Amino acid sequence: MTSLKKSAGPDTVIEAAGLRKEFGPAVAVDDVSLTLERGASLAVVGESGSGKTTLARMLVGLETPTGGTVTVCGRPRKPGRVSSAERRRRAREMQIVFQDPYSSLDKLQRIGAVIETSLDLHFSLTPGERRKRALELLEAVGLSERHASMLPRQLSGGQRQRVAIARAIAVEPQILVLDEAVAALDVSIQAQILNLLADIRERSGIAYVFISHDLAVVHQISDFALVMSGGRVVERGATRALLSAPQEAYTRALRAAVPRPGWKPERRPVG
Amino acid sequence: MTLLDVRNLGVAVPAARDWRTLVDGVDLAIGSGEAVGLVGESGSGKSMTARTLLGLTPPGARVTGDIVFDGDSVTGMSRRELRALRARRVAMVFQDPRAHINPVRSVGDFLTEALIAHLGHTPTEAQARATRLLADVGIPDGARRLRQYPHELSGGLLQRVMIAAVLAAEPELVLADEPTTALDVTTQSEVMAILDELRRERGMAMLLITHDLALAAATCDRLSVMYAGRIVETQESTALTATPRHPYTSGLMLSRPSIDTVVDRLPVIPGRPVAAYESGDGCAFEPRCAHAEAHCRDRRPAVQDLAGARVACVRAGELTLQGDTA
Repeated sequence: MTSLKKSAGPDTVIEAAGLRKEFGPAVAVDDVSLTLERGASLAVVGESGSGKTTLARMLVGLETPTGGTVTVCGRPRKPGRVSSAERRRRAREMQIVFQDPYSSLDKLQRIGAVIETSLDLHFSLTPGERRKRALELLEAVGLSERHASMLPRQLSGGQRQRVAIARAIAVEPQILVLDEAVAALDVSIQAQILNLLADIRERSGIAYVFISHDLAVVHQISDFALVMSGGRVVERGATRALLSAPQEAYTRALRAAVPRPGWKPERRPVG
Repeated sequence: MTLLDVRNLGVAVPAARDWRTLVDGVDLAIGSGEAVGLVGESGSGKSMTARTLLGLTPPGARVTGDIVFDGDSVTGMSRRELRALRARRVAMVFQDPRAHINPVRSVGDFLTEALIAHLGHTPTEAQARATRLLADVGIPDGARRLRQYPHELSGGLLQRVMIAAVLAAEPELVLADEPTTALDVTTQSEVMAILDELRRERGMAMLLITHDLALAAATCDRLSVMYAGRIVETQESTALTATPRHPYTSGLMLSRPSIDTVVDRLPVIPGRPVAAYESGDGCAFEPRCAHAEAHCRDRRPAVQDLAGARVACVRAGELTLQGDTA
């Protein structure tokens, strides 16, 4: 993969400070700061309502922060309307993959065209080059030429998620935000996608923000992790250390709830 | 004593000009008070198997084989008899409680309806009983909760209400289809603990349908693993976890990331899970199996007994497979 090589740039690709998001009277994210280094994998862990998805959406620019700042690749992201040139530039910096690949793909667009549209927006290639590049990208995510002429509904859930990943990396972004991107997949497919994501990162030096409720998945895919609860970061650190010796009661409770050999479910009174 | 005895169950649904087999040759027995896990990925036929046990098959489906509940054939039951079976003796907990509770009626209406209709309680008795049931599933302040509507409750609370409704009928068997899949892990732990505790107290049997092998192993006495519409392995839970006998079972355990260890690359099962109708004449897992040999393609492997396990793999006797020992 020639164009997935490491690209130069500042070592910090995301710098977020004091992020806050209110929805009416509810505070979804409360004073969250984080730093993502080039090529690193940062997990944001939490249960439903913890604010992890809202945080991800603010980083990508799908949600305007109520307070705080986001700096991506050295440039502050100002809220408000931006030119289409600026939007394209931002897209080259950061891409997002959602949980449900079916709802994020156009059901009338063939898979090859999905990738080619993305390429067309960002690079000036001849139709021949564009097609060749699209096939390379499909191959990079374990699909083949045969899949290029298919419609999303003709693919399995795992294959659709591969397409979403191929479309995101087509742009050669510095950062890929994955919002519960493997949560809906079968166990055997989830493992394939996790390995694929690890390969892409090793090859291209892309950085990940991996949003997940699944501690075992986070353990496998990330170097650093933030644990969120009620919109706040309750604990952060290197993933392995954080999961092997959690300091906060909340992180310990999360870890204790993961089924594994010898585990028994635990009953607690309703709070 | 065997409460539920399923023999050679097959389910097929009509497709364009053909039948699509979803469940094929399933044998399953559940004893009184026993908890059995039915584990599989999408398309494995696990949910269809559970629904068929209650006569909840899609329109036009063809069901073959025998389902015997406490001596009575379920396959031969009339709609009326099936309704009675579902109302009193076999209850189901679904993955998404919101899809199964009427959103415009209160939690109290939902809980007392069955008590009044099927158990002959007066409204006052039913009210008191419903409050006690909520307390049993760990919901204090039942009187207030009964006045609330489904949208006012979180997913975890609503699933407890669902379990309370199931308990109301004091069934002999609970079919729980991915009951905690939509819940957070800490809530999952609580809901499973509640199910487990109440099931033991009341001597109810349970069939837990799940994609999560570790969860099933932790909460069930015995596990059956399904692949492409068939049961490929049945073993006592701890034995299955430590010494799986079918390559698919082992692959499923190893491909799941662990919270205790990190591996450089996850050992994957290549390809994707298939449904029964997509599989050829031989072993349905053969195209994905690391241990497959040419003769695996010849015919469907018969289920054989092997050191306490029932396994559908012709090579099971000669393979030593890795389990989950963490």
